[in-house]
Amino acid sequence: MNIADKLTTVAENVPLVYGAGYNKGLADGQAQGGGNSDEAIATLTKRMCENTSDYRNLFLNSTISNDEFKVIFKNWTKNNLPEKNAGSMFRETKNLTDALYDNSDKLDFSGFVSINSFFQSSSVTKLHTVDARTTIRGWNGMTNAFYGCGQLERIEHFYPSTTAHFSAAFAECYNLSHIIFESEISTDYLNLSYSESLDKKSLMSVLYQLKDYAGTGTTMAVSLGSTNLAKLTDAEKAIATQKGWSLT
Amino acid sequence: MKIIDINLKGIEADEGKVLTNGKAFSSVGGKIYLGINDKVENWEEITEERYQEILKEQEALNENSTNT
Repeated sequence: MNIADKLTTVAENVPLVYGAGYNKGLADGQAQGGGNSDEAIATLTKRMCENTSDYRNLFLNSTISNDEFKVIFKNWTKNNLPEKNAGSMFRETKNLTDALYDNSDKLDFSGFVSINSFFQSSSVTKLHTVDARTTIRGWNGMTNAFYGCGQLERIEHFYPSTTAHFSAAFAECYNLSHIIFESEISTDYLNLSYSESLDKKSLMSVLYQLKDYAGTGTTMAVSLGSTNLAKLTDAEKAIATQKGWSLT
Repeated sequence: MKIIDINLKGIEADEGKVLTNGKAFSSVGGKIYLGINDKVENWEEITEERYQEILKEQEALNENSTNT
């Protein structure tokens, strides 16, 4: 079987392939001299986009590299399939670090219903722009998205979903020191308390982006943790409380 | 124009206890600064052990949800 046939087989079985299938398909293709890894991945991604809207677990626990990651993103943002689900897509990947950082590339989740566990427990360290504004599934669309990313240090620009809850999206991100919220935070369960080294600019971006629920009777809460709360003055905390958000 | 009162209203958990409204949690022995729509009655104090149990329950729930 040549590389094209192998990649077709991989793409046709995308929901069942997961990381092992990806690694085997890629290795087989390269072993046969059927193309370099960029070409193989580009082909795989293109066919993946043509054949399915279900990207769940696609590269789970794989050894995908930063360069391979970039090739995938050049291809996947070009398709317009509705109802795309990217749950656990790069979960537990071991070699991803600062892909999509140096070139100001945007991790664009337009049209995805879910990015839950997208990078969970991966080795990602830095991201430039993450735009999840149109991630629409309310109850678990962002759940665990960065859960357990212990090496994650920076997200320069983060646009949260306008409807999906944050549930555990940043749990156990112990080294996250910088994340700037660039658009409104209107949903519950944002918990940044594990990230005790967050800088003041990041904390202020959270306070300023909280949606104003004053006068609506709606009670919302955001968890920054005692260490981060100690970095804020009472007047700064009041930016949140006056908009109807309790701070923990 | 609106008048802003920056006098914060808060509650503090007893030592070894955690405050929760069922969704959010304080640090152990930590404080909650109440939003203007919120009430003290919305928060209850639980033990740290119960807090850890809830975290595990939520973790299992979230793990199941990632497969949907």
